Amino acid sequence: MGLLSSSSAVVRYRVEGSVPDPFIDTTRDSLKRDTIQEIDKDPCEKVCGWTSFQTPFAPQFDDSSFMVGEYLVFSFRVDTKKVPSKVVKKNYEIETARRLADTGREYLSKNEKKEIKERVKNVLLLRIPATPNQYDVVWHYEHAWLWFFSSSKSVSEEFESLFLQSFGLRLIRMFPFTLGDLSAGLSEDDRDRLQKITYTGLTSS
Amino acid sequence: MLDISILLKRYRFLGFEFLTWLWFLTEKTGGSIELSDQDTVSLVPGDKVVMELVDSAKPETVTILGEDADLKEARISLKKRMLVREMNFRLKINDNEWSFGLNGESFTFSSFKTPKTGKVEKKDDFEGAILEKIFLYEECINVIDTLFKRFIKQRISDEWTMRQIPAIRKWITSGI
Repeated sequence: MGLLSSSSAVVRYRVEGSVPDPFIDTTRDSLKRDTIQEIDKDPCEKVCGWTSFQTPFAPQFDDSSFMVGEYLVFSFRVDTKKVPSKVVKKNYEIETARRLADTGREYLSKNEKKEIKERVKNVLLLRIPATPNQYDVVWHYEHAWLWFFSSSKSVSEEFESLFLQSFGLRLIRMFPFTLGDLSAGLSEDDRDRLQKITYTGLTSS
Repeated sequence: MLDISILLKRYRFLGFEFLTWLWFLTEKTGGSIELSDQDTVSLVPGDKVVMELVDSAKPETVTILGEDADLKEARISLKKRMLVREMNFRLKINDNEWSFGLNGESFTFSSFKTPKTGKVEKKDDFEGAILEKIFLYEECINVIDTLFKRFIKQRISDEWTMRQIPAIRKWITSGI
């Protein structure tokens, strides 16, 4: 579902503001600072960050390969680990039984149960590799537009949030109203008219 | 500018009106749409239409699917005051063909297929492949943006109520 896929989904944005000069160096620093971190050896459930479009599993922004012609092309990667709840339950019950046997008690406190559950989950999270998902980004810096290759609302929201954090720039989603208001070349009077329109019915009198 | 989520909700109908108008335009022109004096493109509905009753307390949608989706069903929905929420289209410019779905609410392009491009066999091919693909996406998006601009200018002018709405209503009831 990416830029070079045979079929894809594209959400469009307008980028508000500009990256301080020197543009390429500042952009590179931002991408490097928030590059995706591997969590395979970490009891972490989810991580997101920037990665290279061409080498998504070996991110590197040291050169200028993210500049393609007049576009910036890179990817947003989200790695997640999901431990099936039944696996957690099984291991939790084994561990609880062991603790009871070791201590000779009949019951465990609420805090002990919580601690066992967290420990079991962390151990399991260390055992499973993260599943990576890559979503491509094409940013026309001069024209201040950006395409994001995903139709998932939650992924888009995470992307918008990281983009703001990394570049200090807000993304405005281009849906019919914003497209009309910001990109249709309307005069100020026309933009006022657009803001005042209401649904009057199209198909019935 | 107001909060995006408020704008999305307040002007939700706008994209639905655009897609309904666009469907009307494809039928009115027989799919041959003039973008400018020099440019004419072919734009026709594809294999999916989702209709929705916009101003109803109870959300009601109708989905019509199929390779040769019969738009008669969708037309009946129009008569029931529904508008187009999502629609698939096929665009042809010279020998190049695109297909895509357009969502009236988010304006997201889905199942977006561009004309075929060359395979990337060497690392050196990457940059050319990326630029070619971007160019192809952009060509299609620009067509939709041009048509959207045309729509929005009519929508905020008197032409909308004086000419477009009567023409669309006539199309709904008795065809072009």
